[in-house]
Amino acid sequence: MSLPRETDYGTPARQSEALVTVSIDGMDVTVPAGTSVMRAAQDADTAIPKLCATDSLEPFGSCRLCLVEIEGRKGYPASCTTLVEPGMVVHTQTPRLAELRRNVMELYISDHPLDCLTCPTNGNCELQDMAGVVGLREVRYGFKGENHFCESKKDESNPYFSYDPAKCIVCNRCVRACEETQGTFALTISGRGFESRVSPGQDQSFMESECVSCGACVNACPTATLTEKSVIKIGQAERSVTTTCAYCGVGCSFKAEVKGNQVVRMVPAKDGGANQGHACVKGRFAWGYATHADRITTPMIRPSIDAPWQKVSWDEAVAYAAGEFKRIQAKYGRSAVGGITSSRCTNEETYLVQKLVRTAFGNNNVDTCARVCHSPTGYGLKQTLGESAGTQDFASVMQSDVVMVIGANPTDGHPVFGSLLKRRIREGAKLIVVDPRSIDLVRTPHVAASHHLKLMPGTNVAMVNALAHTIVTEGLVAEAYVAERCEGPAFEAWREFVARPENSPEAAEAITGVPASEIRAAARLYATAGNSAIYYGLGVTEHSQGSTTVMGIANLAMATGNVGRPGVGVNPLRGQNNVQGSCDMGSFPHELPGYRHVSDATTRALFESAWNVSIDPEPGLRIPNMFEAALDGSFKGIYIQGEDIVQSDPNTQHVESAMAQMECVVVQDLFLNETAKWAHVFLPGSSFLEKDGTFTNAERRISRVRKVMPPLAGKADWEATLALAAALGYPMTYSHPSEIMDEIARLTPSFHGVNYALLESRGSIQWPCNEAAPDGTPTMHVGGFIRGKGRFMLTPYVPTTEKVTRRFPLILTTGRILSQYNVGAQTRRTDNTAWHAEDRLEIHPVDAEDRGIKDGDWVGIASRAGETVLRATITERVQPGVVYTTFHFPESGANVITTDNSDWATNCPEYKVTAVQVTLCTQPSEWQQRFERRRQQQQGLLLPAVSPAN
Amino acid sequence: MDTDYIIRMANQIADALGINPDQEQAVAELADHLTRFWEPRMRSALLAAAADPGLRAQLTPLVTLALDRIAAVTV
Ligand code: SF4
Ligand code: SF4
Ligand code: SF4
Ligand code: FES
Repeated sequence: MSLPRETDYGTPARQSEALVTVSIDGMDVTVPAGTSVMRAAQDADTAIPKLCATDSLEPFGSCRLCLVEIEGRKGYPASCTTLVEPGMVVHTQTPRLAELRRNVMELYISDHPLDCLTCPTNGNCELQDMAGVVGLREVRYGFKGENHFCESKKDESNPYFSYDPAKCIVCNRCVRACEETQGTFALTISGRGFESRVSPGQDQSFMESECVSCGACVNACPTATLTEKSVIKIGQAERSVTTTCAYCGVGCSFKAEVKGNQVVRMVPAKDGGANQGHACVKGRFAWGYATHADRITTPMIRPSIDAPWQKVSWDEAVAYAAGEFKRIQAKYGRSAVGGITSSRCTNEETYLVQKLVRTAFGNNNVDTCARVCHSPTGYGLKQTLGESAGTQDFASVMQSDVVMVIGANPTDGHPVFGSLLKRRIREGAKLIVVDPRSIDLVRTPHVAASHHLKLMPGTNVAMVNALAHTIVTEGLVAEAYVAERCEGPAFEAWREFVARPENSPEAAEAITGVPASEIRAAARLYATAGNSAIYYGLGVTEHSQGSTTVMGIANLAMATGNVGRPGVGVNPLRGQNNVQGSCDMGSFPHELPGYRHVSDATTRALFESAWNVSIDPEPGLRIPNMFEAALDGSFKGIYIQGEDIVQSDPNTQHVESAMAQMECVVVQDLFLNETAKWAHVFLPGSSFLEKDGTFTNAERRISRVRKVMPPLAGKADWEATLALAAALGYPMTYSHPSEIMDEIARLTPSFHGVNYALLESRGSIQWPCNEAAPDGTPTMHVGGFIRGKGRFMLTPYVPTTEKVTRRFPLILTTGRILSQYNVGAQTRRTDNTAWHAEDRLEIHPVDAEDRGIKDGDWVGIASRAGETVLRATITERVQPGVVYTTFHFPESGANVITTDNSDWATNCPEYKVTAVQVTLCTQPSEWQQRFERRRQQQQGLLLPAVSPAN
Repeated sequence: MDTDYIIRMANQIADALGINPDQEQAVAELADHLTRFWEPRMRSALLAAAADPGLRAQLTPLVTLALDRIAAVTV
């Protein structure tokens, strides 16, 4: 039995103040003007048969199954393409309509294989449904002759879905989904009449084409033509559980369709607040890692990092860890231990880890991976606007007239938002891209940036100041807005500062390499378009001046009046799924939940009375500081939940030396990751499919994560933290994550109104959600800034000390790609490797030629921190003097090269700028050879642990 | 704590905050930053560096002024 299907209204909902009333089969129905007759009928619970229409796509009018009769009109108009008009009288069921529909179906079925019983979508096929609905009983044309289903070959090239052209009814839904929903334009209909078929690209296979495997076409297909291979293999699901993607900060909502405890497929939820039915290749298809053979499902301990792992019970593992932490604190002091929370874990789990550190450890040595990505966002937006979060919801972009994307690559990093943005650009909004590389957005089908400010890495502040200079000196400031909403003296100081000649576009041209005229034109466009929005990513934050650029961006938005309504704003695109949440939950060493400083006695008193401990008023160590403290011998023990700092943090060799100094490293993870090679205790983690909780995405949207299968290791991550806390002598009693959320809500003003019952009824909610905003807050700073008056900050450009020299003449910058995620621990264990099986170095043809490098050659990349070897890809995506790589594979050692330079305010590492030399070479670097030896050694130490002989 | 690392970071913060035309305020903001964001170990290492004449010379004037202010509060 297949799952009940959601109602499909046939055509998209329309927004209009004007309402229209029509009569459908004798029943009056009132809908917004612009609504189709088909949708109006469905509103009245009258389903008109259809094949080419579906409510996620604009109507197309090709199948002619949805014909209706309208009084006073000739013929039989298609209800999907006919709009309601006042007083219209529509009949959807008449003998003539029934006959016409049967004829249409007859033609379809005559060219369709009748292997329904063995078809993977049997029972979940709209063609089958419609044959039943129209009462098809015979096919006069027979099943031989003009049908062509035997001639076409299946395309199995995509690892996740198959394309069986024999079953295609040429309804065009897939083509439109690829265009409208995804914006890739990979599909066309080729051939004519019975010969016509869907074709990716120029008669290519899906894998050879431009297809990015988002799955939108598979979702849209009404037949078994495009079907998930998992459905073909496992069969259809028995139940469905709504949950949230555990990859990027878009936070797409999915229906996990399950058979027993096995996931059959993940279908993007139509009513998902962040994604509205769309997804990308990661969330839609790359979930197989959750049951990968590499999962470690038994706790393990060992006395030293060179000793074999020993499998133990949960009790033994946490008792051992607790004993070690206590021993270390007794010997080296209370501050000698700490913890790291994970942006891949839930809010509730993150909250518990920081609570454990602040209570059971008794210090503030807690940090999170946001340290290495968006900590400057937290700092910069708090200083200027008053809240460490993005100002809009994603849907806001549909009201933008100009979108400026700075140091972000949405089509790869935040694909579902990328698709929405492309849709808006296709509708006519203008796009400005500020990026050293020609990212896809700069030119992609039907989207072209009006300006691409292709600046040198490390010069963002000069660029932002030059944009501000233009706005101030050309009289483009929104004077009334600034006067009403911002601190006057700070604004005047800023106005004087950015107007200085050293901040002019002409001065910036020499620094950034971007023509002054181009900078001026972009500034004018941003300042004068109406609704202008800025979206930015790690290309802004991961610099020695990351915080300065964030403040500069906020200055631009305030100066032009672009904060506080839909369509505008300052929007950090968060990397991992729960970066926003982990920051909200008090993961920073200087802040308690809700971004309240630990030195604030009132806040401390609140938590002290709730937690029954006294809280240290001094800030704790940040991740890079923990490494320094480990190296000086004052930091000896760490509890790391769901992060792989050895792979993801910069200057790997430095991190490795620090890890080697530790006496107790507890790693809680799905896999034996790079950090676990330096661990003494391994606590098996649980994937997002194995637990309950919430994630908070980049638009502050809190969404439920729901348990789909029991934890493979017996405990969800939150339960493991509870066990460790109890062993440390600080028992916490929660029987369900909802109780943890209740505590968070009680202690955090911006969360006062949040609880699981509300999330159940609303689906998701954007914080602040409290007495003042019981329905949540899609747009922040409406009517005034959170901090009272907006504060302009002075943003001097201080060049990074990481400069090119004769020895290191190129700048390396790093990023990510669509199919892989962060350190790759999850995506590397899926078929996503079909798109990206190794990290490569992108180098410009001129730089390659200078060095005698050909495409695919092995090249050494050396910086003052270290050296690694990768294969080269020669491309003009990067400019001369700049090379680029990703960091998804540990053996690539991308972070062996990055340095310990960091943002002045937050210590966020300067991943985006490293001076390097690139040379042809023939063998892996010394570090890579050491890495391989260590990998083998550690694998060897794991084997006895899993063998029963041990 | 590695002294070079600490000195480099302190000077970097001073570079960012030193732009303030009101130098008195810049010193206060720097002292505040070191107090609010630096763990005591790091602050002590910086204070120790400032107490060493050779190392003190490597600190920008704004940093030494801020440290004098922190020391005055701590004493
Ligand atoms: S999977 Fe996505 S990108 Fe590929 S053809 Fe289908 S809709 Fe287009
Ligand atoms: S592949 Fe599916 S969606 Fe595309 S035209 Fe054929 S039947 Fe329609
Ligand atoms: S990775 Fe991001 S865009 Fe892709 S499905 Fe998951 S949340 Fe959505
Ligand atoms: S559903 Fe209206 S023409 Fe196909």
